[in-house]
Amino acid sequence: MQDKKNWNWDAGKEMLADVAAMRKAYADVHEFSVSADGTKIAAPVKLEDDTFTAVCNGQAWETSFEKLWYARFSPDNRLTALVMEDDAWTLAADGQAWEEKFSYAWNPKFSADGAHAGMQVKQDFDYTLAVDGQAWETTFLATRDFAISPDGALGVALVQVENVPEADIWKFNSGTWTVAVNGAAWDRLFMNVWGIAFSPDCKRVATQVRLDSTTYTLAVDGKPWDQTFTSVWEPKFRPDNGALLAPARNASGWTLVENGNPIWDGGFSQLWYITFSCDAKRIGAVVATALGKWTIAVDGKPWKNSWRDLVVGPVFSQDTSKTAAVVKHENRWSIAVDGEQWPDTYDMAWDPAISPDNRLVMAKVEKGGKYFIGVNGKLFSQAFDALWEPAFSPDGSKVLIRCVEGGKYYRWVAPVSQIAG
Amino acid sequence: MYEFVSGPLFWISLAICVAGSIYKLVTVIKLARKDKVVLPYMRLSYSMKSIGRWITPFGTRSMRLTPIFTAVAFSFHICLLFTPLLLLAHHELLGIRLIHLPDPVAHVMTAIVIIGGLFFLQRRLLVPYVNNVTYFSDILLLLLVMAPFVTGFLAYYQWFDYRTVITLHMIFGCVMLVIIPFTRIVHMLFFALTRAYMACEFGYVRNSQDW
Amino acid sequence: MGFKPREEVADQGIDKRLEELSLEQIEQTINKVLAAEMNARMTAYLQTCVHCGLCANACHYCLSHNMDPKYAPVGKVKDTVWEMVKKKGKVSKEFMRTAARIAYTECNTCRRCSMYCPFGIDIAYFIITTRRICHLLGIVPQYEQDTVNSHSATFNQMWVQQDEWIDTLQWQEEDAQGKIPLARIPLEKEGADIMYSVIAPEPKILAQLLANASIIMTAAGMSWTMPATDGWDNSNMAMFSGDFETSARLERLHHETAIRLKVKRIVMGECGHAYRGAVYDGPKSNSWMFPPIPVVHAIDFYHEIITQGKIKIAKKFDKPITVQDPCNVIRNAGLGMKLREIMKATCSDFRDVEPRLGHNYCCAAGGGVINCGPPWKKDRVKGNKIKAEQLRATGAEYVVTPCHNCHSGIEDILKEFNVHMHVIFFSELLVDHCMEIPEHLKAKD
Repeated sequence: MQDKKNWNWDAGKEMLADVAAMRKAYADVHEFSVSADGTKIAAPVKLEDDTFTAVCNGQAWETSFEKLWYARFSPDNRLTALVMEDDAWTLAADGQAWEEKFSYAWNPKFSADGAHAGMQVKQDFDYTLAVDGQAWETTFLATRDFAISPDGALGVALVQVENVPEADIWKFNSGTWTVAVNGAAWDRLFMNVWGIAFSPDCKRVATQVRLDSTTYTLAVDGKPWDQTFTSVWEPKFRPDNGALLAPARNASGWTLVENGNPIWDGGFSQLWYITFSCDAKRIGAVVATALGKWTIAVDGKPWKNSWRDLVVGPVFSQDTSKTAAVVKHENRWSIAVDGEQWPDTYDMAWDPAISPDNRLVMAKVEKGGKYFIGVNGKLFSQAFDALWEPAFSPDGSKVLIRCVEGGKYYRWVAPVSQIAG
Repeated sequence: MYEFVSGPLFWISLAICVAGSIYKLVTVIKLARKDKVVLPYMRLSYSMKSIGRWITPFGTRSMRLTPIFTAVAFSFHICLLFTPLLLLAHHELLGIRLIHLPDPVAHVMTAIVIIGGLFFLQRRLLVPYVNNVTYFSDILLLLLVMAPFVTGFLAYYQWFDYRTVITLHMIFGCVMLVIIPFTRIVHMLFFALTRAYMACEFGYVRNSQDW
Repeated sequence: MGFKPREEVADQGIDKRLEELSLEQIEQTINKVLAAEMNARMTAYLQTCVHCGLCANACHYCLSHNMDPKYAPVGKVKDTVWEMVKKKGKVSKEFMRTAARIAYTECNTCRRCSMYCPFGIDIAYFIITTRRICHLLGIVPQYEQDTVNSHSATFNQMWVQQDEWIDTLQWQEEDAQGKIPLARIPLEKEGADIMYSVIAPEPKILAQLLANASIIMTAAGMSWTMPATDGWDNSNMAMFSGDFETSARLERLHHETAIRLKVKRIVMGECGHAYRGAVYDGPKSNSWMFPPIPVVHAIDFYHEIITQGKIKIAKKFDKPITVQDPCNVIRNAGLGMKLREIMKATCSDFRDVEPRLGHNYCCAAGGGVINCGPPWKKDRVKGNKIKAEQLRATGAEYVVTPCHNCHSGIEDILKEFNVHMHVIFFSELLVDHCMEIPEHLKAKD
């Protein structure tokens, strides 16, 4: 995560790249990516000789590769991409590729400060992780997901450690999957493992596990809870006391359990996407109270309104009093704040942001092929050809807009009063 | 005996039939509420369209594939339902005046029920895939349904001892009323519900049709 | 008329586990499921069925076996749920062995019988309930269970590794560029209109179908993407094995991948059961009333781009050709007329089947049956003579099967019953024979 305080919040609109010119300059321009602070826009491009490179703010990297894709900005604002040369893949950041190369490499991720990077790699027929340019010495039969702890100390992967001969369902049942932390697999094997969660101190790791074909629970550092369930979803550690929370299903439906014990009353028809308020005092989640009745529950209490199609994970205001979420009803998207939907609906809506003073809820929305900024249900009059999710300044007085208009990319810091009008 | 059968027994049977039917319908609708994927999808228009098809003779491909069965089944059910309801003798017994069937028509309709019953019976015995799922209770049920019609026929022509036959006829009629909600004859009540559910599954959920 | 008893078939997935089970475990599991399932549907169906046998006319197994009563839908219910209910779960191991065999290998849950039952009884629901019981007991055909295991570990049905998936897409993108130099398979493109999803056999054994998708999407000028993460496989065998928890997990990831990519709809390749999983049977298990992101089947999508003129037909295919109506998208999704419209738009000698549309005969491969693997292949093929005869009667040389299960199932029966016909997907017809590459996309010499 970048500290927004360090961004340039001086009001003004700056053109940083001529996107249209770029499309003319190269044989092909792939998907654009924009840095969180808006100062950089980049895309993979194909050169005339059929090689690829990345172009950032109109400036191409000096090196080109046989293939290049997945151009993304790291939290410390470096442009990274997966690159291939001589049939070997690796990660490149700001034009510099790692020295170590792999048969295949994918899914790069970063620590919170961007100082550490890792990805899943395949070397010949073995799978493992590579972190900061170095592959783990231990290899596995497969890796299925991985994460780097926010502090960068732990690289964690879901790994298959024992071979399952073709159609050997008994071997699979006996457990062949587990979690590897910094290269060392947990002793205990499971039928399945899904998802990775870090404790707030980045010392403990939790995952969903399946003990046998009908028994599910959560495991922390390789040890499953004593309590088991007929199904579970992804857990999260409480930021305040480090207790592990997860949605779990029992006879009465889905509920929220903490360290194995239910903490919310009753059973929901569905429950997932646990979210904490900044002070960790309040817990939000997406719930379905019945078939096709989706809403947000905060501390176990559902909003009074519900939506038919879906509700995306809630966002809390800084003072925890306000919650907002993307909602979708009968195939129209909108934003709901504390249970009340904005009057208009859209072709698409992105995650809302709540201003530090709580007064404003802002979201990127799409209507008729154009992108808009909606604030408290009203659209800022200007339509954009492309728009990345807008952000409030730390003091709440300004809005950062990252947008493309008339073929040009702008970083625009506007006073809130102008946008919220 | 005759007095009891033609008076109180009939009313008791009718009461059991009505109360039992209400109980059955209420129970299943209550259960439908618990079954969370049923009621949210129920839509009247899809239900009516499908039920309309299925109560129209030869309205579905299934019916067209088995024309004899379809002809017999429709005649059987229509006669089974309307002969007792529209019979003058029944109206007189209850002291009511309604439109009624002329005697010859009622005869033919009664005969149709009996012949239809025999058709179903031979099917149960001779067609392997029907015989395979025929239990003693299926035969018994069929005989019980036919019984009031056979005895009614016999009573009209005063074969055997009229008094005995007419008493038996009324007893069988009462038995028939009582068993409606509690045996597979409940299909008479549930037809609209099961059909409506499938109609909505096919129509509302899956953009298709079930006939 | 004498009907032969079933031939013995050994399947370790069922037989081995059955040896370990106690009769009490069987009884408890049956009663637990029946208690939970004794809802309005089960209650009404059990009481309403008058044992008339009309459903026998619906079932391709029954029709292909000379109306053998054990293959009549009602006969299958008798030998599974009726008996369990009657005996209150006190059934023998041999009974369970047959029940598992019937539920997994002799019913495609195609729902044709519900159209022939005067009461519209959902007979497939009885079969699926039986499968649920079998899953909880762990008596699932070995190959079917292996597919479900793959789903649970890899979120695709053929153990495709993550790198294999991405690498295949990149390689197929290059293949597509042989035809259209700027053809793309845009990976992870947030905010595209369409997420295109497929089933695992495409990257594993039929990779050219991915290149076809790229050619069609590029030519039609669509804004589309494919995920480079798990969630790309829209298939769901867990739904058919009775493992509803894994099924829910698969459907959740598939739809959440679309939600994450902020697409407006999912277009899926030519697969029927995947549509069932993503659109009408799967969403319910996650409490979605309808799919959270609309899902468009390939037939519907091709119909859209052909009728809207987004792709042009350069030349109609002129050999005699017929079509298979996949149950899960025709009977169970009403795309039958659209399928005929695209067949007629692309073929000059289209020969329709009879019966057709919602009354089509199932391919006998769907509903998880083909995934039960080699031990059951003979039963599956023998059980669908009627389909082979139906196709033979058209006199066609080609048959389009817009569904992977249908494709494999029909190839098998055509071979068994000596019907000489090529089995192709609609995308192959389109790309290899019919569609025009727009001038501005053609390679410049």
